[in-house]
Amino acid sequence: MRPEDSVLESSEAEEPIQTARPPKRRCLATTSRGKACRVAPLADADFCRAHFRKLELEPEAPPEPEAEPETARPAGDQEALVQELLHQVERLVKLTLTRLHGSGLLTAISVRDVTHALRESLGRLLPTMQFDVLRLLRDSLQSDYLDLDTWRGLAYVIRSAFEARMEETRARFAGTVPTDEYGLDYAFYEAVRPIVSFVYRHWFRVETTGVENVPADGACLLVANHSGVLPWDGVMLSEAIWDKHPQPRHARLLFLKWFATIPFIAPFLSKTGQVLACPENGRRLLNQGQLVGVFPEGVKGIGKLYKDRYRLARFGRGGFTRLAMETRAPIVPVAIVGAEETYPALYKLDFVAKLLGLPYLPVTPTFPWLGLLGFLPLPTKWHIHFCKPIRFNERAPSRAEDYLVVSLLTERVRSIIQSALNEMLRRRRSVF
Amino acid sequence: MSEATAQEAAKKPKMTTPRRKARRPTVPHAPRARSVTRRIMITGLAGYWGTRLALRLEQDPRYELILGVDTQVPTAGQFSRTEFLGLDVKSPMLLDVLTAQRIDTVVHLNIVHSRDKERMLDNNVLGTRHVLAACAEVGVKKLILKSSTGVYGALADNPNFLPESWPLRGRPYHPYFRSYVEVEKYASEFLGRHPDLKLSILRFASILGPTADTALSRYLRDRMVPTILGFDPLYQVTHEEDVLGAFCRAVETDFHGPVNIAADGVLYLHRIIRMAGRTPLPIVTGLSFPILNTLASLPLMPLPPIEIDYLRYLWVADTAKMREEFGFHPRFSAEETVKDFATARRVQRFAGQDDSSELGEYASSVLRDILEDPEEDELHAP
Repeated sequence: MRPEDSVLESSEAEEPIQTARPPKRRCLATTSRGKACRVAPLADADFCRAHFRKLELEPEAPPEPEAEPETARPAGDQEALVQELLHQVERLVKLTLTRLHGSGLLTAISVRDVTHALRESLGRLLPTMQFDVLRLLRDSLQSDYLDLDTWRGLAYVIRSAFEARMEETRARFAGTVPTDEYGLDYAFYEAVRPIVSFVYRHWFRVETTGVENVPADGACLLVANHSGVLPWDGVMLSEAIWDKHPQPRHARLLFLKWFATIPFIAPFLSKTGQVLACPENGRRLLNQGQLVGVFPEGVKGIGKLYKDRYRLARFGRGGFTRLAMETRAPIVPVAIVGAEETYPALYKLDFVAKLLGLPYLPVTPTFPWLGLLGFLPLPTKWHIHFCKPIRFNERAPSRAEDYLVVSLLTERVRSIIQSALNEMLRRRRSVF
Repeated sequence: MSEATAQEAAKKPKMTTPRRKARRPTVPHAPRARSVTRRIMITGLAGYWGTRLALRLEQDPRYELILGVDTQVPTAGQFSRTEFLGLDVKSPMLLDVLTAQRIDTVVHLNIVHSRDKERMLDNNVLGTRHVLAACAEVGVKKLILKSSTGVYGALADNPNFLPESWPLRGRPYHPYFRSYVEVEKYASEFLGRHPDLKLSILRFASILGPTADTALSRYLRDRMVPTILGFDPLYQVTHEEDVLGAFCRAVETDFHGPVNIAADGVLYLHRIIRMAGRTPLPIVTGLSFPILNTLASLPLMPLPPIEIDYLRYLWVADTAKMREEFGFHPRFSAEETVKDFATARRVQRFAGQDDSSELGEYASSVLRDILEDPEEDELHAP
């Protein structure tokens, strides 16, 4: 038994499954060729199916009220129905997967992953669509794969997903997709997020701690260490807040001027809500009460060599401190461990970089040698820690021009991040 | 500032017009509307903006004289009380006209965009200098200049919202913005020397509307609109009615200095193109644009509407000053502006077709004879 299964079971506590499981498992254990059983129903296979039928019959009780037009229902009722269906489908998913695991197929997929993915993708559909999709999913999961309805259901699921995508594309072509004044396009952001959350969960397996230190509303300045050759740390930082924070917030990260000159990257950054790093933008965002993320190390941090890893570079000229003091936005120092090893830069080709107009051009064990494969980050294990916020009193704005205060505070933020990094590195057992 | 207004509201809770008072921004040098009657001169009357502004100002009885000056004669019969004087702004006679007609406000709209660089320099830059100098000489109280937010230049390190205090970094080699950058450079020098002359410089974002012929409307003229591959900058637009509204506001108030004028909302360039019913045609930067520019410099081709950097980087202006100090609120949002433009363009395509609404007496009597209920189509009802 996997630990996640036990969690799921306790949350559901369904008796029929508990009783039904032993005969089914025994049946599969005896004949691992389950397909043969289904095609030619023998006494043994029949017995298995009968139990299965019994399971199927039990959740089929609710479909009767669903036959009525769904639009007539109040929203709360619909919601409850969707939830109920979701539970049924999850139970069936569990059932199917344990069967598959028993037969030695697809052992890599865990029940938790599937249910999580299901809930996430359902959240993007309209309520009525959720209902249809779930009903068809349930019917198809519990039915035979030779049954025509299974395929019909599958086709419906694909079609509704396709239609939703088409609708969005059409809206994009008609120019009706709204954006905010900084260019954040939520539809685009939602389309990109599955990839990001895959990387977050399965590639870097990011562990996030202290996310509650980020205030739920109002201005806040996240100050993080910058590392890795490509800014994956920024992507993971915003995903950490979106995914783990009790009240998800969109973090606006400030990017380097250089990125604004790169084709495809520039509109991508602006469509996901990032803005150029300059004092005017930072001040405006903080005055509007937004969550802003900065990497004060800049190029010195992101382009540093592998041998200098986790040694913080100079924190700019303290521009971020001045901004926070002016606007009295709390500073939350963020320590990110794991990004340094994604692209271990062994050497920097400064001369070539200057020729090409790049801020840095590193040589990694994979980069120039393997071509595009060199852009693939190493799957290191990450840990993002949000430290306690530094808050300012009402005297702070008047001292924002005081060089001494600014530099002391900048140094303090830097030392907080450095000590958090040291502590996290001490605890870390392996890079991967 | 909000605290101050709150205190003010607490002190006098029930006045005759408390709401209006509270809403008015408490900026120290906020422009106040003057009650004196005005004698206005519009240079470049025959141009699109000159004509439309004169027609708008004519309707306001507070302005006792509206005098248009241009070398071209405007279409006859469209003005009700605007007077026209065929005069070049660079001519020394301008001084005599200004003094004889006791002009107190000059709206300088005599800016042309043409392929001929020499003519543009002569007319726009030297013409504006002459007008500025003449106004200062005879003691005109107020001068209004039209400019563009393009004078900030489209650069990769521009902040998302450019304030008026931002340095003008527009590289003046594009014909469209060239004049504005040069005029503004001279005007800012001039401002220091003549503090008693109120000089308002209205920097408009890309103007769009049903009738105006502007850089952006020319850019959106064809079915396929060239864009830069891999770039999609944010754009700001202004509706042509708001342009006129801003001029009227500038005539009314004593605003001094530059102000950005743009509609609410910022749109991606590709979205504007889509909303206008056009298709973006992404072009690889390094190769094709020089070719396009060369083609455009040939006499047969139209002017290149927008420079390459303006299709690549941000040049969105901050409109906080427009709201708070200048006191102007655009009627149209950015989306409404583009929609208005798109609708007008769609209708124009069919405008040539005869809808035969004029039947004549005999024909209508024939129709009336056979039709049961000759009602007007409700579509035509106003």
